[in-house]
Amino acid sequence: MTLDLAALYRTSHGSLVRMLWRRTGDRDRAEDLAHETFARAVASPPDNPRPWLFAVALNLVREDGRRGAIRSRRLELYRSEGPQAAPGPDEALERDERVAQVRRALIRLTERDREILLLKAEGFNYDEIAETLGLARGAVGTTLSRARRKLVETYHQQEDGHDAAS
Amino acid sequence: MRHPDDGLIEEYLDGELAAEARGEFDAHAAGCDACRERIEAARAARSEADALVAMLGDPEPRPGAGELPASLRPPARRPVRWRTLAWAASVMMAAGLGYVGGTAERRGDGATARRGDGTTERPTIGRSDSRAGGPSDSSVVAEAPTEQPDDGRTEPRSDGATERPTAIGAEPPVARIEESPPLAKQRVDGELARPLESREELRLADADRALARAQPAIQPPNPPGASLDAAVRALGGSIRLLDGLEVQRVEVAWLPMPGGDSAAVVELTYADAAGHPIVLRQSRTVAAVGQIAGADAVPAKAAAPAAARDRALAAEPPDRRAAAEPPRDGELAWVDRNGFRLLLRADADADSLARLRARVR
Repeated sequence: MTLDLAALYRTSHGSLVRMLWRRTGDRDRAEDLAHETFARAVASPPDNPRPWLFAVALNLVREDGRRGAIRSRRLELYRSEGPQAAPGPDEALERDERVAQVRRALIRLTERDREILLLKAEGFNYDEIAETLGLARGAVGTTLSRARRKLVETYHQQEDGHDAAS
Repeated sequence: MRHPDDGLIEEYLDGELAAEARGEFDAHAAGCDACRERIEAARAARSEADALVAMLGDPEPRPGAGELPASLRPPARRPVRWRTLAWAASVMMAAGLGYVGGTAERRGDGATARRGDGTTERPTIGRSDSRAGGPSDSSVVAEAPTEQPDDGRTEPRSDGATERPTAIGAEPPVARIEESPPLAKQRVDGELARPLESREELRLADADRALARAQPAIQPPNPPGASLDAAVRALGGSIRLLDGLEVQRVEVAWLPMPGGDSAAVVELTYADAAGHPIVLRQSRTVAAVGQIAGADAVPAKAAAPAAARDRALAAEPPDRRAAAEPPRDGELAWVDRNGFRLLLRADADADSLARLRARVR
């Protein structure tokens, strides 16, 4: 099977960068990781490209996270990188704050929970999620259920904390 | 049906349940208040969680997003200039050079073969009838090393073609490959139906000691149906080119090797700014003669020993191999990582050759 890299890039690069950006909070880093992932696909073309790309990319993120080199920088970027829409100043501030809360909630999840949520947001079905994360197909529903509840719960805890503080 | 667990509810909400399982799920939920509550709670968490993730938004698109960057594209292969090749072939034929030959002794541009002790031997392949005497001749040739005058060069002609000693009037040599019509006539649907040119004498570009012991004749001539395309496939599906220069002439041939293998040899001739020829020869051991034309059908068994030897040859870093060869005017031989044996020959000093080598793609 020959890999149509241009077509794969066209259909998957944007999604991969978005997932990596949401995962790392660092736009440049997301671009670099996506590039590195595609370079590896060139070197050894995968049979099932989409799960393969995301699995490699998430592995790269984990390796990077283990080194811990960008941890502190990431936190800074979470604060500085906001949404691109520009509503009114008050609305923008409020939205920025909510986005920052989501990111903080996401960081508090386990790696597996965080990754499954991000993959689902990219339209992955259960089979693709199972292949990307190395999960049994039957475990995807349970993991996803726990991750969703946990995210909502953590987000509201922050909201409560924020309200109590203000 | 028993009460569904959280995972099954999630599958149901995500539309991942098969029709039959979904039917059972619906039937159970219809009669179970507790499960309906759990389903609604899960549905709410699912909606909210997905909305929270979506709130993270998208990174701002960058210029050129979605287009494969140049750094990820495979290197562009320079197309063969058919018109130029046809012109060159016509010149060759008009000049009566359809058959180019001469013995290695006369030409004196032999590749060197490296012995285990680091000295060199020069194999000769493809000799005239008068010399094609069998194994004893082979050993003589193999052991007649470097006394022959050999400047490793060819003389440019005024028309840019390469002047080579010819065997006009001599008996057709055993090794002679059939003469081909001009390239323009060979072109069929954009492909070469047959190799461009015949040669009496071809040598491997690399130090392959086994080659020196090979019967020094090309037999048979080109396998029927062989084409430049087949040669490219025989070379592993790709061909090395000199970046930035136009190919003036292409030559293709095969050599028998010990053990029934063959070496596919392709020689490309370029011209430098002054019209002096630059020759890039590349060869690779493939399978038995006769199977080359259908390179796709080369049996693994036949190809395996050749592949193993190529790997062994290629295992040594190219730079070391090149450095181990005695310096010769105008020639540079090496083996690249993919097992291609390469020889670059030009009227140039070592530095210029090294620069040329860096342009081999």
